[in-house]
Amino acid sequence: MPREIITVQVGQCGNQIGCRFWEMALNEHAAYNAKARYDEALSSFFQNVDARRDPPVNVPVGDPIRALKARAVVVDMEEGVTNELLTGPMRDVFDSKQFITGQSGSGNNWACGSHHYGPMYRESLLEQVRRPVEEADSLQSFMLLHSLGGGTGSGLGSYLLAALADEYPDVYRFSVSVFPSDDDDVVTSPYNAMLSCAALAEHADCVLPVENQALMDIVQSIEAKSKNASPFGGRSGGVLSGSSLSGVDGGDVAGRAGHGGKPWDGMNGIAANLLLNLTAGMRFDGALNVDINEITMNLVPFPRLHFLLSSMSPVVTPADRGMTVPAPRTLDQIFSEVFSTDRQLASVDPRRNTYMACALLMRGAVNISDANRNVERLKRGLKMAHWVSDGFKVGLCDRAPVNSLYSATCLANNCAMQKPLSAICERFHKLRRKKVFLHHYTEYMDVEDIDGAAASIGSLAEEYARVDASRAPDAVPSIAPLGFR
Amino acid sequence: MPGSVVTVQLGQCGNQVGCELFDTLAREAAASSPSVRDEIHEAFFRSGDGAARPSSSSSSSSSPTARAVLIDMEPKVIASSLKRARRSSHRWRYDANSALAFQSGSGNNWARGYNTYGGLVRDEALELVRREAERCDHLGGFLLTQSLAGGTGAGLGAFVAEAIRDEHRGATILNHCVWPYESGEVIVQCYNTLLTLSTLLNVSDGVCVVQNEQLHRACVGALKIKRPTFDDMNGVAATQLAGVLLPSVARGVTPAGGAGCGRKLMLLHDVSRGACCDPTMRLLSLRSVPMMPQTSVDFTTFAWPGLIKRARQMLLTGTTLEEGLDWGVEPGGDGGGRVVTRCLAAMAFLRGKGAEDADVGALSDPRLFPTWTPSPLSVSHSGARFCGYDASLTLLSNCQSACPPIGRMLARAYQMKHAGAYLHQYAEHGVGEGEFDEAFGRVEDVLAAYRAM
Repeated sequence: MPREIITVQVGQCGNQIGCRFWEMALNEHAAYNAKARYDEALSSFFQNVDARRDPPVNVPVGDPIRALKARAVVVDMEEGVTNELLTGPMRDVFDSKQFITGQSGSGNNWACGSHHYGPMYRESLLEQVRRPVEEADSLQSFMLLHSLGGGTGSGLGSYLLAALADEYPDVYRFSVSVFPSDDDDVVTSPYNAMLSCAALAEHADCVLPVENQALMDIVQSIEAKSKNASPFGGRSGGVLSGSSLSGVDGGDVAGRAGHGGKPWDGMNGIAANLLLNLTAGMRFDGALNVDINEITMNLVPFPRLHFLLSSMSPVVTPADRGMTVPAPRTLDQIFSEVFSTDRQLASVDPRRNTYMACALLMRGAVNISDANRNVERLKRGLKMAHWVSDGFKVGLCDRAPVNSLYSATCLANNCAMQKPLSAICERFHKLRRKKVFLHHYTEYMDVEDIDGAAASIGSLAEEYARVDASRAPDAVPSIAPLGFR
Repeated sequence: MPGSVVTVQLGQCGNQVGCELFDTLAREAAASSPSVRDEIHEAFFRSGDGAARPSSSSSSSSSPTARAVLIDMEPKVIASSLKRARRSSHRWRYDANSALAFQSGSGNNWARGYNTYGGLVRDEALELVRREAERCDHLGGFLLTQSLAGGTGAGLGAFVAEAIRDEHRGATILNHCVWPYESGEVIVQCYNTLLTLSTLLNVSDGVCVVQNEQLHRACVGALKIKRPTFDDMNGVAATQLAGVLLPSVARGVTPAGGAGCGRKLMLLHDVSRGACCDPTMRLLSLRSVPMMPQTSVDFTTFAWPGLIKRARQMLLTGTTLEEGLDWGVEPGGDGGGRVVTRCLAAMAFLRGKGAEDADVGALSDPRLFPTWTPSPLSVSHSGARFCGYDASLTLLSNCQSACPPIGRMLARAYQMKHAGAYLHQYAEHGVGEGEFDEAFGRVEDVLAAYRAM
């Protein structure tokens, strides 16, 4: 019996991450599914259809694989990337019926994506979502993949998130959001990032921020360490140049090789890998399953503070194409690494700030004793909020990433999140004070709404700072027993 | 007639412990004489050819079927329990028709398990429990295995316990609850444990609390397992529980014997009568001696006086571990600054050669118990060996040793609640400020009763 996740990929960046994700998901399931049966693990992400019929019929779990179709909704306001999906190596898992495309793009304008295209495509968007929802037996969550810098992913993504919250309030909404780096190519990205952040704070259950800069650093450090690496991240140039997928950022940035030498493919692979590790606990067996709803329950102590910093070790899977594999490490090493700065998918140092909660999702040959021993060891170096002395949630999944022994994924609700949030605010205010580009936005929305969103992000950053600064009270009220009866 | 026990396995932890328990019982049955085997089978298994399921595969239909109901909100764990039973070398199985699985986990949220899923599951769960109960010639009670901290085992488990109490008013309900590691498993465990305990202490006849931390240390210390897995730890928990549940004969403490002396122990009624004589005090602990790797059994001599002395000292010091016993603690006085655990009531289960005549005087020392306790120590014995040991002793006690972890849990829950953390997730499923305060009050009352002892 399946427990499904519907992936919603919006905009150029979202679709590129999505595409790498589907490829890697197929790869992983191919490695663990020797009999080519459509099993429960597969059913989380894919449906199995008999395409010989029209309309195609669903094949139940346990039967041989006929044709796997992604439980996905593909949205972009341009046709470029989605056309690449339909002609690329992953074309068979998609169906053009799953696609919503516009003609002209959102012009890197959040307001255009959200307030113009949103209402315009609302019916068809919801119809597109309804189909996979109806085919799911027990839908667990929506997984939104998008970037915050551009127009479509950020604007239309925000709109869609609110619509999902409206239509399916009981289904968890996760979002993997690519935060723009400081030197972003899109000039309006400060507006876009701020506005979509406010929407994420409002409508998502969990946000996993991923920063371009951090991903780039990781990819480059891996490349630097490997001897025979080319500057473009692929050892065999043929693999990379043969790929039609490139570009991690939203907007119109064409991330072709040659554009500043940014290793997009590897970066997308890292984000996709995060998704695989995050969902491994619900797809495969394990001694300590961690479901997607347990993550929100354990890691979100206050409703608005739901931005989770993620880190992984190893950060890429050996099976991922075009990536050089880092040297194998010991179990204790991977535990230590997920707390180090250079494994963070956002450019922050969580060890300097207060942890409210932390999840360690282990895959492979790791047992509870190993996990507890390492938590005990690492806990000493971490600052936990005073009201939570045991803020660790451990997940154990039997299946390691393909070709590795084990892996660790760490999700942390940490006050370091105030930094990216205040940075977004600051960059926005810099433009807002001079009213640069403001007229592009007021064309679609009120200036009060823009300022309101900025205030909401500002207060969110303050909330993080407040938790960071709070100290244990001298006395905590307790309830006195009635006495001996 | 020993009575048959229907086991209800709740949540991931409860299903794993339950599965381990049946495997241990089946193993002991296989190693016993035919008459004891029949007794074990009657109490915990029914014959496989249940009329309710003519379509079942004929190959396995002859093996005994556990009198169990399996409930979880996720199908994966139940599937692996069924598989594990099928593959067990001790020839037993679960009835797949007695399993109830749903498609969405409770996500560690007690309130969701109790309030939101409870109502959905109630009728189906009770129907399965009733069907299983009706297949017993003589229903002796319900054993519920669950964890204290999760969402399904704890939240839904507490709801199911209440529902069974409603439906089967007179039946004995015993809960076997695993206390999670104090760090690592569930971040909101102090809330969940608080809410579970407060519910169970109200409906159950006895709440047997087993700490993962202690199981872990027992695995490392006594069983010499360097990196214990959950299976190893569940094995220890199952051994302790089986030590109580396997057939035994009651005997009086005094040579003259008391009422009911020499008669077979009635499950679970006699257990609850022996250990839970006060309605406010229902927290039970389990201790088992000896515990050793199977490879050491052949090289060990077993002597009753030594076992009994060690069990007594474990009881006094409030530990469930044989290793590192503090022999300086004496009953009576203040123990020289050391904590002396007081005990409301205890049951000793002696198994092996000479169990009938072993002198349990050390355990019945009146200084271990408050003077007002009606029946301090009950003893029962069985000549059958347990776990291959020539002599073994399991102690089920209603004592203060469960208090320290509960005190720590309360302190954490107060802190977290004061900070307002996670409360919105509980409020979403109908557990608000008022429910929390009520639970705090109830558990504080129980704790105060134990401390006043």
